[in-house]
Amino acid sequence: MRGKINLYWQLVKPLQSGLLLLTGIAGFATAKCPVLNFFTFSGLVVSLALAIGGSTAFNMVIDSDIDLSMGRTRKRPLPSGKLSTRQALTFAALLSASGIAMALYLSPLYGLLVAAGLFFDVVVYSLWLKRRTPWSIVWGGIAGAMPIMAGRALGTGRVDLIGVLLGLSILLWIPTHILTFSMKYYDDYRRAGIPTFPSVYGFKTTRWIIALSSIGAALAVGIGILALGLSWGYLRLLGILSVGLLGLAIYSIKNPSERVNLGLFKYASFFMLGSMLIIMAGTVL
Amino acid sequence: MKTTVLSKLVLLLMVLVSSYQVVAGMNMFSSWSVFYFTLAFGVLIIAGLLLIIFGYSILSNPMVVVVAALIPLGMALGLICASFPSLHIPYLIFSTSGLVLIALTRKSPWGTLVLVFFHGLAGVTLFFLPILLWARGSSPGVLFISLGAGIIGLGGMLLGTAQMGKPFLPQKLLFSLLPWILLFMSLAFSAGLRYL
Repeated sequence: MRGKINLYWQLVKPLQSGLLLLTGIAGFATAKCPVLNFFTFSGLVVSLALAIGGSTAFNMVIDSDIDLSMGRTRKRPLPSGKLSTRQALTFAALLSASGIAMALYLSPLYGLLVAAGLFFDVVVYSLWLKRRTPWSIVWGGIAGAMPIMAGRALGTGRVDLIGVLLGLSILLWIPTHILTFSMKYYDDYRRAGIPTFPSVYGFKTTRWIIALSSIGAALAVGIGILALGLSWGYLRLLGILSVGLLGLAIYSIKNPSERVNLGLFKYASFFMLGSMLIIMAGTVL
Repeated sequence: MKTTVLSKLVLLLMVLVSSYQVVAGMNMFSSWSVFYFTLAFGVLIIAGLLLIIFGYSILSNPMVVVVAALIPLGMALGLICASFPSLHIPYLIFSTSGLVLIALTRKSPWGTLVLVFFHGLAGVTLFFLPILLWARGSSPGVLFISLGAGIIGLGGMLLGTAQMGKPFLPQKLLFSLLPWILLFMSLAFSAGLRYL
């Protein structure tokens, strides 16, 4: 039983989903609504966790043939045969449907945004574009931006400029995250026939795109924090984290290596985690 | 050498302490002091994150020497600016020229001498200035800054002798101590600034 739970747990990629869930909580916190309202807050956490987990599980099903051809992912529950496609699909559908239903119950606008995120991620990104164009990551990015926008919309009752800016910061952060990953596993993606920026435009262009998107993400979250009226201290801290991200991105252009790429990938995760904690602390405390 | 889980946790704690200081611990100072302290704590934050990600091998990067000099220079400048504003510009000229010279002489035979001179003088300022302020009637809490300067001075000497091939301590022990040195230094600086 425990082993089975562990297999389903792997289907939702807890770390990645957790980070996206955190962006949704941060978006909700920015609305300066009473975030300790137990019903709404726990509703947000549960509905987002279910919807994000569901869409991740759907992606696992869609990508199971790719996962089988890549060394890094071969041992995942679906390609290794430990879970059947039917089991994974049922699980994904259950999570997604209950997540969206709960989100719609909380607020129709919030539910719509959560459903849109799932649609962009599963249908547009994974099913339609991922195997056709490296630009699919833009749509993956839009899907990734939905939790923070949805969280804010649940708190404010509307989609506003601040929500869009915060969403934009996630959208621009995602290339830093995904492209460093696609450089590290370049051979795997090539073998699986997935078009990535490194395979289509080369490593040098990809590194430039990473550096530029890092600047964009830092600017978007910085303007968002300014618009939220957070104190200068938070902006200073964000500035420091941004300098580190930008510095590492430039260093990776000048001294390219797999180690630096992986470091940039990890730093980008720290950056986004830090940005979300800054937003939450700045608005709630 | 790989960073252990405990070392990573201690470094993360140091990053959190420094982050708190940047966000909430310097609002009582002038804009210039805030800028210099942010520079010093900023280097600590980024250094902590990079050590967590890349491990101690990053210390062999030649850029580290230049960037690390920003910690004592930035702290000393902020301190001068807050307590002796009339010395701000002369000390700024000293610090800027020191930083430029450290960067320019990195690979020359004079490099170590230049580094020891500017780094050392900034450390001496950081160590003795709070003692002077205390003697003039400031709260004894300001001496935490001297303590921080002493801790980083000790850490700097240990690392320096190791890099020169004459280590006081075995490398393994030195690297296991480094996160604690950085944590206690940031705690001491943060505590001391509250009493300035």
